This record gives sequence, structure tokens and C-alpha cells, in this order.
Amino acid sequence: MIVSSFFLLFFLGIILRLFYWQVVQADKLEGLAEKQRMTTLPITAQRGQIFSSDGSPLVLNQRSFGVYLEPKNITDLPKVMDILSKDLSIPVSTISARLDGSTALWLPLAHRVDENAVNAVKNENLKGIEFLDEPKRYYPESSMAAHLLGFVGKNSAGGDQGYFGLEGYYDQQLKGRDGSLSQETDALGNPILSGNIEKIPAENGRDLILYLDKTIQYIVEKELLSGIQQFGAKGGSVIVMDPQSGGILAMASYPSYDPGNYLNFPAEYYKNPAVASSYEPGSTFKTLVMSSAINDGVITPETKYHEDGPVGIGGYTINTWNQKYHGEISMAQILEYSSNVGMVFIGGKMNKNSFQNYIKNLGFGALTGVDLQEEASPELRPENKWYDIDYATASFGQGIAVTPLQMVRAVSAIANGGRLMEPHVVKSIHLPDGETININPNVEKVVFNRKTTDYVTEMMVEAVDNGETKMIKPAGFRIAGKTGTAQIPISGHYDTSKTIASFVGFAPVDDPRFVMLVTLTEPTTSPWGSETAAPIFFNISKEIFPYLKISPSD
Amino acid sequence: MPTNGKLNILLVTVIFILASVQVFLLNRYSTMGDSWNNIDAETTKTARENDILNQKIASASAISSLSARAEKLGLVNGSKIISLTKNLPLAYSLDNSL
Repeated sequence: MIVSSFFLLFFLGIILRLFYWQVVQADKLEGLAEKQRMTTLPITAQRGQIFSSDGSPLVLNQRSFGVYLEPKNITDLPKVMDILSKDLSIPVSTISARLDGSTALWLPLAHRVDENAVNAVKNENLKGIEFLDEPKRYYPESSMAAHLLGFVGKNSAGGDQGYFGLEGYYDQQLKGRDGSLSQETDALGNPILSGNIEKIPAENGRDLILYLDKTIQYIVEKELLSGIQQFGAKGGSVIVMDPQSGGILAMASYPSYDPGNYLNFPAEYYKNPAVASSYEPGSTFKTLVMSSAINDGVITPETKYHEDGPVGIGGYTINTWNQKYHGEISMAQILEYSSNVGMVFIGGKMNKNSFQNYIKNLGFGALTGVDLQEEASPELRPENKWYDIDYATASFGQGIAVTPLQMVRAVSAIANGGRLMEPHVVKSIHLPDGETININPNVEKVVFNRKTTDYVTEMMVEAVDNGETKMIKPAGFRIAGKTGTAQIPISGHYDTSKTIASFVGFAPVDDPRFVMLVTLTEPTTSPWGSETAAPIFFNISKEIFPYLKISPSD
Repeated sequence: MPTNGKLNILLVTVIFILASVQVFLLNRYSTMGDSWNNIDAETTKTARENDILNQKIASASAISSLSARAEKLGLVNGSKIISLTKNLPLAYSLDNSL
């Protein structure tokens, strides 16, 4: 009896235990079994690449690795440190400091190491060193168009993130989306083909095709750097834009940096001055005020002005830049002589509301909408804070702050018959499935009528042919342009020894293929735009004309 | 006419053969993971080699590389460009002067 009871209880215990493991713990054990036989691998999405207008690559992806240490598995520490130091160019002291006192199982040592260096380490067959795929960007054109492109760094979660320029603006589109592959594997880790396979394919990032012309960009960078050195300037920028589409054909600024080694450059170099820094445009702004006044009908090209001497406005005296006064002059001659007092006359003819409206309609005081991350815009003076002296100085481009991109876009409206175009760097976006999204040119508004732009264009041609730049302009070509020399405001007053020298223009006049703005910051050989920025403009133009197959017209 | 006994033996034999074939094929299929891995590795290796070649092509055709090579070969910027024709307009506008 006792023995039977014992066996009964024994088997009851077994049954209860089986019930516990097979019913109560069923879900948990099923999960553990699945975890054991199922392997999940991430499928990394490839970041989208960037190409110039002719399809040449500007930014590609390159295989590189993160190097990690497993301190517990390192058997010969001095040998490991020596080899890593030699092959990865990391000081032994740095490696030693990383390992010193660390109890971590897994220590990052270096990121984005080239494949060649990693292969050299792998060939040593050292224990305790692991490698993970960490693709990095490759720039076949080195630091060309660095400010336009931006760079890829890390975000706070350790993932890749684009900063500045196109990498920053289009980061989400370039990034794509990682996928995953879950499959049953055998004891050796090989996939079981007849087992469960769940695949979420990676969605690679989208490629960008730019308006940027590689050849024009090369010419611009070469001539700008040469000009900065020749004229002893602190820096400078050039923008070349297609006035018909708003496409940016070239954009360069110095000082610049190498996006492939951005950490080796000061952070203040990362921001693109052409879209993020402001300056007072000086006499280049006169073309816009002239256009506004003619468009409003308050002056005509036949209007005359008596340039007899300085003018007084609100307790201030305004002179010409060279203290020369020419008597009765035409509106075209006001631009040709770059007469400040003449511009005060023109600005004074305009209704004040109309003057302010033209400034706003030309896009000043607001973002242009260009597809670059760091674009900024200086604010315009509030409408109720404009006094007579402010209208007067604004008429010749002082007392108003603009970005170089705002300036070149506004002058483009003269070149293309009056349309203010939305500037763009990217022309089209290619999706991984082969589809293409074209970014169509966008006319924001029509600011001037055709007659106005025709008149002002001819005035600008005369300013180039008869003004301070007549001796240096390329022979045989009709170029519309205007010099600018603006003093730099410092602590509430203007420093007469420091200027922003600039030249803005477009060509060929009959069918403008490009509008270009050159700005130099604090040139030391001469403060004048006609002697510094203008030569750079013409040197670039001389190389662009044959490249774009533009023949002389004279 | 085969007897029921012989028919049963035949059926069992056929079933056994088919089952054996199924087991054999399934086993082969299931253990092809190793080959799959090898093919996958080869594909990945080829893709990476393509990437490296693309980068080499991009570097070799970079404008700065071409410019440096052109300079080495003695090519210089053209100092004088001669145009055979001027830019001709598509049409002239009529005005009172004509």
C-alpha cells in the first residue's frame, strides 16, 4: 500500500513537472528555442551619393571599419599595442590610456579606418581585436565644393548624420532605412534554406544630382584662391548662378575645409559664408534701386541729375566716393560714375513704402529657400524705424545687410527679365528603384517688367565699358556688371580702412547664361572692388566663355 | 490480378521510396546553407571590388588629377581664343528705324 502510494505520488510529481514545463513555461521555452535557432542580421542601407550635373561623382561611399578591443581576450598586450600603433597610426600612449583600468568587455579604439590598414592588422592574427563595418564618405574631388556638400558626422546616438550643406539639408533622404534578415541557422551558423526566413530589405538612400558644373566650380575655386592671395584678403566667396533656372552652377568660399577630415579644421570654417554670413553690399545694390525706380516710373533712362556737390540728409553729409562731381549726368552715368549722391536723388524720388516693398520683393530679409542646411538671413530694419538717412544710405547699399546668395539672386532678376527665382543646388533626386524626382525651377515672383530690365542691363553694360573696369574687361564680350566697395560697420561706426570689395554681373547680355557675384573680405592691396573683385570676376568669365561656347559679340 | 497482399507490399514499397527521396532532398536542401553562404560571400566580395574600382575611376577622372596630369604633359591654358563667328541673334525686332 505504502509502496503504491509512493509510486503514485512520484508519477504525479513527474506529470505536474511536465505540465509546468510544457504548458506553463511553453511560451518562454518556445521563445528561447527560437532565439537559439533564429539569427537576425541587420542589412545596412547605403547612404545616397552626390553627383555633379554631368554625372561625375562628388561624394561616394567607401568601406571602412571601426576597430574595437576585447581586453579580456588580449594575450600579448605589448605586441598588440605596437602593431595597432604602427598600422593604425595611433600613439601607443593613446591605446594604453584606453585600456588602463578599464573593465569593459568591448572598447572602441578607432572609427572609420581604411580597409588597407585593417587588413594589415588582420594579417597579424591577433586575439582580442574586432572590426565592424563603418562605411565612410569618399570625396574624389578632395575638398572641392566643401561648403556646398557638408560632411557626415555622428549624432548623439552614435549613428551617422549629415551636417551643413547638402548632407545636412537632405540627411533623411540620403540616409535611407536599414533592413533586417531573420533566418533559421544550424549549429555551424549556416542558414537552413527550408526554414523560416523573414527579410525586410534595406531601402538605400537617394542619390542627388546637382546643377553644379564641376569645371566651372574648379575654375571658380582656382581663381578665387589666387585672387585672395594676390590681393591680401582675409577671405572671399564666389557664386555662379543660372538666372533662368535658379540653379547654382558653382559656389566657393575661403577659408574652407576638407569634408573628409573635417575634425582637423576649425568649426567656424564649416558654415557656408555665401548663404549664412551677411555683409553690406555697397554700390552693387545701386543696380537694384535703379531698377526699382525705373519700374515704378518715378524716373526714366532720360531723366537727368545735377551732380553738383555733397548732399545733406538728416544732419549727415553724403559725398561721392572720389569727391568728384560731374554736373548734369544721366541715370546711366550715375551707375557708371557710381555716384552716391545720384543714388540718393533716385531713392528720394521713390515713395518710401514702395522702396521698402521692392527690397522685400527682391527677397532681402528672408530666406531664399536654397537647399543648404545653414542658410540664414539678416533681418531688415523694422518698417517704422526707417528714417530719411536710412533710405538715403540704403540707396547706395550701406546700412542694409544681405547675404551673397540674396544679392546674386536679386541681380538674376535683372538678367532674366524680372523674375525672382528660387535658388537650388539639387536638380534631381534618384530613387533606388530607378525613379527620378526632378526639382523644377520655381519663379517666386515677377519683380520688374521686361522694359525695366532691358534698360538697366544696358546701363550695367555701359558701367563696365566706361567705368572703372573698362581697362580690364575681356574684349569683345558684352558683360553687364557693377562694382561695389562697402565699408565694414564695427561697433556702430564704419571702419574706413576695412572694406568688402565686390563685383556682380552677368553675361552674355543678350542671353545671360550665368550671373556671378565675387566678394572679397578686407583686401589689403586695395580696398576697391574695381581693383580686386572685378579682376577675379573677369578672369573667371574669360575661362567660362569658351567652356560654355560663348563667342564674343563685338 | 495481383493479390491484396502483393498490392499492399507494392504500395508500402512505393511509399517508402518516395519518403526516402523526400527525406534525402529535404536534407540536401536544408544543408545547402554552407554553399549559400559561400555564394553570398562571393557576391559581397565582387560588389566591394566594384566599389573600389568605382572609387579608383572617380579619383583618376577627378578634375584636379586631370589638371595636374595635363600640366605634367605640358598642356597649358589657351591664351588666345579665336572665334570664327559671333553669336548671331535668332531674330531681329522691328522698330521705327527700319
